[in-house]
Amino acid sequence: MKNPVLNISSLVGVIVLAFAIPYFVEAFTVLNFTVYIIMAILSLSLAFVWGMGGIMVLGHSAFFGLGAYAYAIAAVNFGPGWEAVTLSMLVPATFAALLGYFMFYGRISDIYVGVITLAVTLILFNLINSTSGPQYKIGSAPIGGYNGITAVPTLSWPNGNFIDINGMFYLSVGLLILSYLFIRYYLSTRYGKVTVAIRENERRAELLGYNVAQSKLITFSIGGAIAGLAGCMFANWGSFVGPTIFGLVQSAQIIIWVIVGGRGTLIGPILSCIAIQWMTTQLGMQQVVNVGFVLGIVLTIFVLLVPSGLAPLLAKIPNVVRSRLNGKPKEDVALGSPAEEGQT
Amino acid sequence: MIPVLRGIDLNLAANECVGVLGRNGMGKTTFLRALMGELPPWSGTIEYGGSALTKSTTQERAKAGLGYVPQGKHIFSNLTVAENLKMGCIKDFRNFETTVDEVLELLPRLKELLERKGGSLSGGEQQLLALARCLCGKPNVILLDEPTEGIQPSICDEIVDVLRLLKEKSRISIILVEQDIEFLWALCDRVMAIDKGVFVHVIDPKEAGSEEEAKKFIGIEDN
Repeated sequence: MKNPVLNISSLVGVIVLAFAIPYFVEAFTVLNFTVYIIMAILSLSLAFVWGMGGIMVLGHSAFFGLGAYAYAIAAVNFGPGWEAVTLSMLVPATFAALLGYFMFYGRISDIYVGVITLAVTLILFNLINSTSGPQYKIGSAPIGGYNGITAVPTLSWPNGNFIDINGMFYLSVGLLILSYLFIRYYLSTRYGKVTVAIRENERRAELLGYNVAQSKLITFSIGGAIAGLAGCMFANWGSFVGPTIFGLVQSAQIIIWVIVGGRGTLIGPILSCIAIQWMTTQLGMQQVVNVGFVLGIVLTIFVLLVPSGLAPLLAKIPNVVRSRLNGKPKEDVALGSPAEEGQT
Repeated sequence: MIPVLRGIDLNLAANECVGVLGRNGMGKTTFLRALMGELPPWSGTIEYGGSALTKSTTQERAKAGLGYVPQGKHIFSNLTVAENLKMGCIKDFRNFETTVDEVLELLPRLKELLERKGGSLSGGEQQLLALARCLCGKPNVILLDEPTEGIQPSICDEIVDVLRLLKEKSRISIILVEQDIEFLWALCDRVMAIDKGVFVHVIDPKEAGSEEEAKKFIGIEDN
């Protein structure tokens, strides 16, 4: 989508649609859509780290969980203000920077980076799970072990007014749009171009003289910060955080959203995250088919039949239609080509 | 572990083109990769402009002025030609437009391809792009690994013209690993024959009968 007019109209369209949704659906649906949007921020963060940066992270929920816990603990100690929100991004970003430093400067290969991140999130899961006694506190915030932290103080508007269900929805949509625009901006800068070049051909980027480890570290930390922001919103949404957000299921879901949406695009993982969560909710209302079973089938179908994901497939449709109408083949669109990030 | 390179001793003067010739598996590519720091040597030194490079990283060597065009091109296939060239401007990114324009003057064929994805180019065009991107980094020494491999003759001629021009006007030094004797003889001031990781012979391309002499080092014997 390189046409700026189309870009702006799409953005305005999304804002208008988001603004209108709470007027047309009931509060329960708005509440559900809010969590879909929050998860879309999380999906976007992995789409950036993995899809754009080529860093395979299997345990991305670690940063999501750290963000949620950082917010909850800070909100209990200092109150639910900008300090807590800042910490919810700073803690996972710093953690990502530390972890990334050893992984990228240690030249650990891609697959082991994935395995290490997965191991880290499981360690965090077990660590938090084993802190259920009253002695496990940070300041005045009990960590709560497998019970999690309940009654997390939630954010208010700057004028002090309570953020209601609709407000939380608007805030989440706003943060999703901001995160998306930030990533788009970053990718348009020199650093962003290097990020994509490293994904394309790490060896070549290094031979050209780029600091691959540093670039990966920045990408990984930004991704951690955005995942942390999603965690902060999740803690606000439910006023609760528990250790399951570090779990394997959570991590697997994020990967599925990105694969189905299209690795190498930003819009795809956002849309697929919302669609899959909506489908999961709908399937959860019936007793006939197991939700996990259906999700597994969806993932298998996409991996086998549409490996490039949904967004590149949809992006190809206008070209195919145009070529059919013109009766001659148009220039091929490399399906799933990660460079299509500029178009989606 | 078995050493791949032994007895490698080479001085490269400014403005000089040195060819490296040998059969497959004799260590030609390993030699270039060692120069670029991809394979750290167990012993020996690499110096450039009076400074030791032996312990420098690949990134540092590239910034110091070594430009490498590896075998297989290694372009960014999902970036456009223009983006590929932009990525090459590591030394002076702010003035990348000027640098790219200068390089495109040398390789005008790429001007028409700027918006095409690197991966959609032909093999020859990709090779030109790889060379152009290397030139965008304003290297003082270019390491070329089999640039003619699978490339049509007209593009090989284009590459020869560009390299000759660079050598004459920019004082760029070149190390050219190649098996195409005609290509080597068109550019090189001297050719090192490599066999089992050792430079076994120096050939002067200007000498009569030198081409026949070179053939035995790549396993072509006239009957």
